Amino acid sequence: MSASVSITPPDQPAVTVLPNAIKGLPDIEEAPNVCSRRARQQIDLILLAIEALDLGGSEAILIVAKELQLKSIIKNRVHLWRLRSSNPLRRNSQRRPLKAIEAKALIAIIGYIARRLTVVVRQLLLVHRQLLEKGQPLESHFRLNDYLQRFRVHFRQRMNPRRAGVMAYDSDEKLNGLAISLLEQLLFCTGTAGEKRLWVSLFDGEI
Amino acid sequence: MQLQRSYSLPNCTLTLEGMSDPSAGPNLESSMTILVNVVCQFLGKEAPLSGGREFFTHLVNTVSHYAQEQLSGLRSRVSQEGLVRLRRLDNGLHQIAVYDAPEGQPATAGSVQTADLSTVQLFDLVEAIDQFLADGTALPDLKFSLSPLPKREVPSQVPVAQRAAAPALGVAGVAIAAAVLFGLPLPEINRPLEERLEGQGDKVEAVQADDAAAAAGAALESSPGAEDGENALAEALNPRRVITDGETLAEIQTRVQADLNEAWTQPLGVGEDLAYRVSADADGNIVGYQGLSDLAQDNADRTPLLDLLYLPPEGTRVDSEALAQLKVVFTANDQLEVTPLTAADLEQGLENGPADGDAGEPEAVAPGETEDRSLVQGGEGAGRDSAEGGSRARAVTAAGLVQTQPITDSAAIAELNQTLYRRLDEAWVEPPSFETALEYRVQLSEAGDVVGVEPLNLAARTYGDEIPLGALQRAQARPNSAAEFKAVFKANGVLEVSPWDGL
Repeated sequence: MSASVSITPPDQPAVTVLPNAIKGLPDIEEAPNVCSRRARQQIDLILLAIEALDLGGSEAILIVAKELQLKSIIKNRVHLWRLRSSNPLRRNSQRRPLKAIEAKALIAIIGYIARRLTVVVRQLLLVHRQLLEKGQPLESHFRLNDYLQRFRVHFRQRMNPRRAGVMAYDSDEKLNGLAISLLEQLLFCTGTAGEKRLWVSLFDGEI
Repeated sequence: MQLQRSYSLPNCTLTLEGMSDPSAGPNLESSMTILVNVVCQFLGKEAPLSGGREFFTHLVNTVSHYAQEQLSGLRSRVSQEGLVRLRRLDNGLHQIAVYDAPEGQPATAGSVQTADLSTVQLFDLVEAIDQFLADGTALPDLKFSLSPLPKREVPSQVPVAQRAAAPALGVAGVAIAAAVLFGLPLPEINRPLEERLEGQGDKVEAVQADDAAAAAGAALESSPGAEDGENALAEALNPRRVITDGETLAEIQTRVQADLNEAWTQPLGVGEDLAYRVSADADGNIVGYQGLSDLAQDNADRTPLLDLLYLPPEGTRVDSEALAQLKVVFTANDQLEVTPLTAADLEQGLENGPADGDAGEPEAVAPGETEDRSLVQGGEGAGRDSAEGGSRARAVTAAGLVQTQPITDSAAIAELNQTLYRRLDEAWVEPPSFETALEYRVQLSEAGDVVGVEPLNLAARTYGDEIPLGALQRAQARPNSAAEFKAVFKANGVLEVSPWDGL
């Protein structure tokens, strides 16, 4: 009788099977495994827009993460906060890199929630276009004003005012402009290939 | 078989009409492989965009790239080229332009169809195209793969003018600084030998120059303005009148020696003696010098001769009425010897040094002959010159000392020793600041006066100011006889005086 001891290699890293949500996002060959500053910034701001659109936005992100089986990547609320805080413009910006797989997970969540908010997004953009054409102030429309105001408050609360990137948005008009452009980006995320487009656009100019 | 595919969205409807390839085999669901016409109709716009395969290819390309642009904010070239172009207007609308160019010819501004789209309408177009791309049964060979914008396309985001501002500013700054500094005058290089000795008159030919002097003059380094300089130097070295008076010559000699001692603070670093022919005026200023050997000439800048060279102010000339000709030797063991020049020096170039011959030979020259020895100009008593050459073998003629007969009475020497010691001890009151001993060779006359002082080492020359020897020395007519002593001033304040030749 011989006792055989087999030494198995240690477990593979946590995510061996990619969740379906991420499978559609291809790995870019020449791109490094971590995201650029611009990428971290953009993801965080889009999530900020989602929170400003919908009162339950913050919770929704966590719930969707669970639904899409992304818990292995985004473990809990604090971890989500740390991921988002890799945005260099944040007040308590964490000096941690945002790994590609983490970015993919966040983008999958963004796409999912954006599709759920399609109607709202389209409506607000149409309203915005109408108000511009008529020359009326943006505060006229209740929903749009609500969104813009919430966005401004959240932005000023969370972003570090000493950063040059934040000082560029020092007035309400400029923040409104940023809010609208984020809304447009969210619109593109609602499309069939929305997540893929967003993911690839993160690497524009990086490779 | 005619096929139609239609992708309709709230604001945009994309309709493809085409045919399937019959040779592909009978399929229930045939793919449209040949595109006949595509129509893109926007809600609210009367005229649809339509075209064939080429138009559609460009449309797909441009719209897709433009959508990426909207997401990342970085513009790409593709959306600005080709048959279909998209750009963002200032009011937030997107303008799509379709150029109607025949096949194969570049797009011109002739016939173009434009439409302004809101973001929502644009998105619907993007979505329609994405749905088409996802549809495998419609033009499966028309693929579009999303790829990030390469880095090399990104720098064009900032307009060239803005980017070029910084380097342009830098270049302008350099140019301005260069222009300003260009106005500064170049520093003048003072070449001491040739150029600075002002013209001593045009009567160069009248100057008596013997062959040796001419040969020596020809050995001068050439320099710009060399002619004038050489003439001036030649005149300085061969003045019309030479000081021959013994007393004056002795004074000049003493002056020159004292100046050189003061100025000579660093060892030369040359292993051999350097001998120079030096012209000095009546005040003891050195007005010209020239090495008597090639080695001396090359190393002239190591000696303090250049520092002491007297440069007359502009416009005046060196008073060439009467100059003294001296020979200055910087010996290898850091001793300085200043003696009057003889023709023998010139002819032989570098003499072997005054240590030739018997050291004990007494000085056989009478005071009356000293005057004659100061003459340089040629052909004066070659016989006497050779005799002088031999009799000058002793180092008695070394710097600072006078040529006299030595006192031989030992008792007298002992007494003078005491006298000297007392004198020096009384006079030396400053605490010494030097670290090595200063050694001097002192000549005392019979009366006990210091008539000659020669520093023996570098330290003595450097710190000579602290020693009262200079004050004690009295320039006077040469005594008949003198005794030599060696005086050592030690760093710990001890003074030692002993006869030079021993007791």
